[in-house]
Amino acid sequence: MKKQHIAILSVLFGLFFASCIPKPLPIELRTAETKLVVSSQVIPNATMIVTLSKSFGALSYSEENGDTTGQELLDQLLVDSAIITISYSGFTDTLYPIPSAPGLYASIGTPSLINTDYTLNIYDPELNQTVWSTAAMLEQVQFDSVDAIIDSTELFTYTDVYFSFEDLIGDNYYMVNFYSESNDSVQSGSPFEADQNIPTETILLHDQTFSGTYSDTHRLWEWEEDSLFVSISNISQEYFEYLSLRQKSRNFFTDLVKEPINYPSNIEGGYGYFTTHFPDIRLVTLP
Amino acid sequence: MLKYTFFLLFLFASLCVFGQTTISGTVTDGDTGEDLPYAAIYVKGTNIGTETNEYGFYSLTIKPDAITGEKVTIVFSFFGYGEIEQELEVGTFHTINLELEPKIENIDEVVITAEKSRQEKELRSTDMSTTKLQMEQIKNLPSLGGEVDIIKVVQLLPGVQGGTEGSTGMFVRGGDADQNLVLLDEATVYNIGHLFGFFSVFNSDAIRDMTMIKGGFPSNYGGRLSSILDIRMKDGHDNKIHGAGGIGLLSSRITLEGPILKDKASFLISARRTYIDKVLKLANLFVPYYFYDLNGKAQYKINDKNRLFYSIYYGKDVLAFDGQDVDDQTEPAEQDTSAADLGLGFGFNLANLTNTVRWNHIYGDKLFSNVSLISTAFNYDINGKLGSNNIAIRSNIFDLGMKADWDYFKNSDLKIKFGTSIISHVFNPNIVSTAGDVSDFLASSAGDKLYTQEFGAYGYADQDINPLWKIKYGLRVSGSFLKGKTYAGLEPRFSTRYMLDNKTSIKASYSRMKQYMHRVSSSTVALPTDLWYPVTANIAPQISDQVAVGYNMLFEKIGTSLTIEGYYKWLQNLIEYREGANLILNNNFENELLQGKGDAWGGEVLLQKNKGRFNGWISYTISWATRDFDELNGGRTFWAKYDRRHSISIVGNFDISKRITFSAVWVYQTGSRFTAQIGQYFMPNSTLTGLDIIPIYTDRNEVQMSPSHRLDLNLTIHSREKEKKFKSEWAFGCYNVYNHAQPYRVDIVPAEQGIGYKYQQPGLFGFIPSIAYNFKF
Repeated sequence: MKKQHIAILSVLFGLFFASCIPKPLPIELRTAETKLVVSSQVIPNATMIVTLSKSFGALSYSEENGDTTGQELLDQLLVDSAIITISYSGFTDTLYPIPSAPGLYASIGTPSLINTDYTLNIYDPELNQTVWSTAAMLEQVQFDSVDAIIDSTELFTYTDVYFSFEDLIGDNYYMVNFYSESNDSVQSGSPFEADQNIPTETILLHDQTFSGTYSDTHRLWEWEEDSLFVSISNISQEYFEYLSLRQKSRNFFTDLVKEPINYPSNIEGGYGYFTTHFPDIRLVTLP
Repeated sequence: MLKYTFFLLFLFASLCVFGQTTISGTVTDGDTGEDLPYAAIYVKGTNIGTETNEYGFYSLTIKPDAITGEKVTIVFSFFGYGEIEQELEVGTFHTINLELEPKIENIDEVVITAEKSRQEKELRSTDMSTTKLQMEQIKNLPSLGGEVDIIKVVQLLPGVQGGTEGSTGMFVRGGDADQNLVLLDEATVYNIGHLFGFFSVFNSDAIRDMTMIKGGFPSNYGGRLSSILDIRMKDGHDNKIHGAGGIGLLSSRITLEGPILKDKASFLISARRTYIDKVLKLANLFVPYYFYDLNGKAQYKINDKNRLFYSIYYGKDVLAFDGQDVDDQTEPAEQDTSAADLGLGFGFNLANLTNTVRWNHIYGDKLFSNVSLISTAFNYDINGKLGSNNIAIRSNIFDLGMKADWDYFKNSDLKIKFGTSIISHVFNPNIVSTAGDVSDFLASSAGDKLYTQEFGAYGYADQDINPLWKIKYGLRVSGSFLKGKTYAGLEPRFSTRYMLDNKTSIKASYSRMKQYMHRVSSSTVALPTDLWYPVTANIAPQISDQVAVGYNMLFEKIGTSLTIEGYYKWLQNLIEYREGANLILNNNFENELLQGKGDAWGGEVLLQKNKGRFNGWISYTISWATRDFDELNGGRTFWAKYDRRHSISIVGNFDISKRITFSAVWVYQTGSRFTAQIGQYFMPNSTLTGLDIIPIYTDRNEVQMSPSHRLDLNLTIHSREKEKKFKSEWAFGCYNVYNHAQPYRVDIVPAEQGIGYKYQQPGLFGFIPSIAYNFKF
């Protein structure tokens, strides 16, 4: 039989089988109730920042189907008229919406009191929902030193970041972040600006395996920015486990074969995470 | 005084023995010389009888008070064979090695008596939750791609759920996929599926029979919680050269068997290979995947009391993608960069190798032994290259073991079986070899080798208490030695049968099972990355306790049997994975594993007709299976993934004429369960410099997919009768005749109107026709 005949037969068979792919079956599933989504950040002895948005249906947006994070969608989800307070040691501060950053709220002059519980209360009149959470402010950890050099292999460029810090007394969990200078949202801007592409890496450490001075080198592959911010925070065990879970879900292989992850939340009646850690931030200028 | 005591004892024993009639020997196929396991041997006109063991040996001792007269007629029969009667003098010992002749061409006459005796044997046996299948019963059933697949047939039995459509996964009575022990001539087969589990590794031409046990486990079996699938290869024709084979759309196979020394030694060789890669290569189309299986067996009769056997199986999956092959089938103008120039390549290899050396020995009239040396090797490797970068990941398991079993046929009322086994396991997971820049990301490593020894010792008695009541009671002691830890425990087993009348019996059983290894896999499709691991100091053996009750009825006139069973299973130390667990290249997998418990319960009905022009079975299962893990689903009880409430299989074969057979299979199953995404939210990262999209899910396995059902048909046209030496047949089949989707996942896809999205459940396979040509000589 000639090659062309085999090819024609193969195509015919392929068409035949392809045409017999069964029609998918529809299925209706319930939609999760819309709830408030909370995250937080602390500027030491200055302000507490809270972000507030809403959850939405699984059929409203699909990353797998190529949807991008459009500003129109984000704007629909941001909550900018909620009433937010933070209570601590018998005091209560109000958090006010930041006009230039919808979805962000900030307090004025909230002190950072170590080993103090902070209770966050949020009421959204639009959803008519109240959520609340409590977190303890832990002792701050600080870098002893941070430095970085750039090098390359045959195919790749990388940046090695050297850092060291003094381990605090007791059982501690640390978060070290690496992000670029071009848009430090801690000082300005908002994470809710669409299509941001700021490289960020996070490593998590538990002092179960070390004590005293800890030093390490973290390699950033293909870091194209001119400089970078490196921050370290002493975080709670619960937040550490929450971040570990979020890191795992970003693993390509895990994404293929994993069971779905239901992320924990310490927001009563909502989603997200409220924390009161505050970072030591260092700016490293790269050659 | 002592010598008188001994004399009296001797006289007493002699009186007990005197008058007994004992016959023993082997029952074999008169044509091929194959052992006939579970052939019935009984005293004509009575319920006194026994059956051959799995190696064809039997012993029957008839008490003097059970017989009147000076002669007794013994009947030998087996499904598909003619019956033989032998008249013997009472009070004598006989060794009778018998050959039964197959009666294939007169299927109606097949000794309906033989079938009747087989069904009565099952009715009267203490065995329950057990199905024995001969290849003759299933060879005409329709299947995916026209390949007779014994695993797919097992999935049609009550209590057995299949996994993803078309896969060889088995979920038996609420258990998990790694809780099934699959044996090929006593060797464990770790990977039972080719092409990610869509085709089983078993070449039907090399298989003689199989036994599926889901409960009431006899003490000689252990090591897995939910089922034992004991598959036996043919021994090989010891008289003449015979062959068989087939050519299908997906693969071809050939089997040769014959004598090495006539009536003394024989061999069997069987091979199967897919060839779609070779066929399409002729048309310059590149499909870099194929699999093959090789089975071999040799047996040697040293004398009437000693036989040696050797079995080997080797099967392999090969995927070998090479950039040059891609370039060859792509027009140069369409290539931005040649795949060959990139030095692109990717592949994987999956291989099973089993070896069994077995010695059968007959001691006198009542004692039989089987001693086996067994090895199993399972290897897989994944490799990739890009330019000067290479990566290869290998894992393997090697088992070396020995087992010894004795069958003691004390008399017609009591049979005792005992034995011992020890297996040494070596696990070698995740051996990584890298070269080039990729080694900066992933360094070479030798992996963590693990050694364990698994042992077992058992004994049981199968005893008639009276003509109506029979019990089987036994104990298995099992355990595992590993570095720094020893696990050991008792596994009591019990089953009983009570005859309500000659055609009806009720049964009950209890079994405790322990499992000392598990498969680490978070997917339901067999992936090359699925690895078997032993128990460790932190991961305890899994345990199950199962009770079952059953009702059996025989409709003699129409050759039909009805079995109704109910069961409850308690499961401990089950294994699941932490949410977000990364099992790929993770030698610290222990930290990703969680242990919890589960419950499974349900009812099964099997209506089976095995004789006549129309035969087949209807099975129905209703079942529930739950799981409890402190760290999953918020500590709340959740449904098991394969908690499928209803399952129906209707299987039928109809001999339209002597040359034409029509077969149909219709299956229905409640949808499997899954954890659905029902919402999402944007969550800033820890630096507030960006957003992650976080999905919101239902409770674990809360949602059930739509039921799946399909109809498969097969028409077989046999060659004319005058072609006696060379027989052939054409088989025309179709899978999923009405092209109904068998849901295996839920996708979010754009809605038809172009606005928003919707859920949908795709199916894998639609209508698939098949043609096969089979022959034997």
